[in-house]
Amino acid sequence: MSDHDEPRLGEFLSGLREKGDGFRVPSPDYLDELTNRALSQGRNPVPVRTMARTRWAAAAAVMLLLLATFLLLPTTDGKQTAADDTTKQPSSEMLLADLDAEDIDAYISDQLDDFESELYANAPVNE
Amino acid sequence: MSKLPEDTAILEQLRSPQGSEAAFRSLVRAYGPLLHRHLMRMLQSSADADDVLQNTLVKVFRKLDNFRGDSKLSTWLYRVATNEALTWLRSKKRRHQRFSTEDPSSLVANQLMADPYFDGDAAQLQLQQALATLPPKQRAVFSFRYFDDLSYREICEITGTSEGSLKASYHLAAKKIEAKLKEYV
Repeated sequence: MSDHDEPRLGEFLSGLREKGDGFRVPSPDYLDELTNRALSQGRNPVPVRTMARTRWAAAAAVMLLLLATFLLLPTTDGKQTAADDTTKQPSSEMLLADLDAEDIDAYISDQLDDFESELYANAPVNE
Repeated sequence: MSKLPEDTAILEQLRSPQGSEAAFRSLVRAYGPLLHRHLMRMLQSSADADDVLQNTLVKVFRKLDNFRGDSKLSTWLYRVATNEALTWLRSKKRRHQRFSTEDPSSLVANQLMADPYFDGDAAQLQLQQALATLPPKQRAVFSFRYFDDLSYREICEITGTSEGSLKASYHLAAKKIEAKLKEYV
């Protein structure tokens, strides 16, 4: 696809293009200071936490599974399970229902951000 | 964006005894202003641009030794910076939704009028306000094409999106911005 066959911009937008974005260029001093900050932070070793996080996630998943099994599975003799006794404490389902889907999404996004950026940083190097 | 002569110099420095630190300093001198400008257009706040540019440069420094020059340096830098900006905007959007009811467009106008890096006139301010109403990825595409005059091929390499989608996205963004600008007049 050619760059030349794109639709023309409106008159106003075409005129504004000549003026630029209105932002100043940062000073050399700012760039030097930024470089020093980045170097200082970049020399610190990256915390390796992937395996630890995986282990904790696996442990949490197992615990949740055991808890769900204990609370939700019916007993063989037809007696009520602990989940039926709602007067004692809220069930795991009720507790999970209290969590906002947005909070869960936010947590996942926050945790994955670093990993995702590392991925992008790596990707084009050896293309 | 064409391959700059600085790329060759930076790669030569990378292989020299001075190593990655000298190469990194050259890289920031060559590309820092471009990245800062790109991030200002994406984030419309010099404080945010400063944080995101620092995060970008830290990641670049840590990976610079692995850079062999098979791809253009600018493409890689823009890709990391854009991803950092998108991550930042996602996080900011969540905070904004929870704690503020202010219209994003007027928020941007107030921010930019007080920003030391914004030196534009009223029309440029309105353009930035209109830009702020675009979804972040579309804002990036529009910014690369409209302000930096990058080819779709180059934007494709940076964003990983097909050229057809980029063209459609740019066309749609231009229409939205035109409509917004007409509202402001």
